Amino acid sequence: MDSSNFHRPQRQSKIGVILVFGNSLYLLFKNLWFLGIYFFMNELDSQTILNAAIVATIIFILALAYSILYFSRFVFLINPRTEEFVLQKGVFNSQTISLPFNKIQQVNLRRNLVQRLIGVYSVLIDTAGSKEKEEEIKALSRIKAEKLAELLISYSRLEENI
Amino acid sequence: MTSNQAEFENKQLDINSLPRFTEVEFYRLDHKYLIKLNIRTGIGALVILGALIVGYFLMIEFKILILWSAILFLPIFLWLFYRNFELQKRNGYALRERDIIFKRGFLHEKITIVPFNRVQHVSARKDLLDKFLGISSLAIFSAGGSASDITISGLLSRNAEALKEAISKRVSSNG
Repeated sequence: MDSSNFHRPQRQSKIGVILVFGNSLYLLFKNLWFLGIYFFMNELDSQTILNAAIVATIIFILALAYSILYFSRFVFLINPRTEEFVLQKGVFNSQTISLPFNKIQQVNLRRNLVQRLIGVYSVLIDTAGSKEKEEEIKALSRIKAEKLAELLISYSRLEENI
Repeated sequence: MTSNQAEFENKQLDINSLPRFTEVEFYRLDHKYLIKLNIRTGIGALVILGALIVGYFLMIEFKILILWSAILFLPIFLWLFYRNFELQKRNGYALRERDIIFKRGFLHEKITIVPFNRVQHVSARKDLLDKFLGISSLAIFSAGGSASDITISGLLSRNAEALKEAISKRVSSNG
């Protein structure tokens, strides 16, 4: 793993699509679970069930398309010229975040149960300030995650010494 | 002891001789920002208008009440459109060597000065409407609470990029 790889735009590990998709399904479920109760409480004819199944499939496909788009637009890189870490994300609302190396407070690696199962790591980049100001890259392979963390830390040390 | 005393100084400054940030020239936001604000207000107005029309034809016993509320809503929305116009005219930003100044508000004006060495990070955002109009918002996060963060919306996308680059450069070099 060469450090200069991070100087070009990078995507997350491909398997990260599963994480994004799982997350959007979770959000859908959280907002629409009461519809399920409606279907269980009432006796429905087969036509209604068929319609509901079609709508559910369409929502499922849209969520999948959104996840793939979100994944492919989630790009990060290290820009040595401006001395910052750049993160681009978003499908409808897009956002470009620049973190200067000397403002990086800490870099954490983290993994939850799902990430453990699919073998990826979260890299959290923390700057001073409130909680919402930390950036998270949710799916990186172990080698890439460690390399990125190491690079960011070494860059921020380098900045401090100047 | 005497040398220490000589080094330490704490003279009073003349308030009138201090540099005035109000003397800097503020850049205005793009006129497309006004379009964006008006579209937002317009959507709000349409939603309420739709609700009133539906109510007018469905709930006959409340017809008078609905007519009165329509009369009440009209000046509110006229005021909001006028406020958008004033906001676009009054909001502005200025860049100095060591800080960025952002002024916003119409009746309640607020001016925030963020020194570059306190900037934590910068982010450029575009929502769906911004993409159609070709404008961006630039959010500047400073150390400390969210009260000192500023979001300059309604910048032309290329200006936002240039501004972001300039701020990043100064943040890095100021340490």
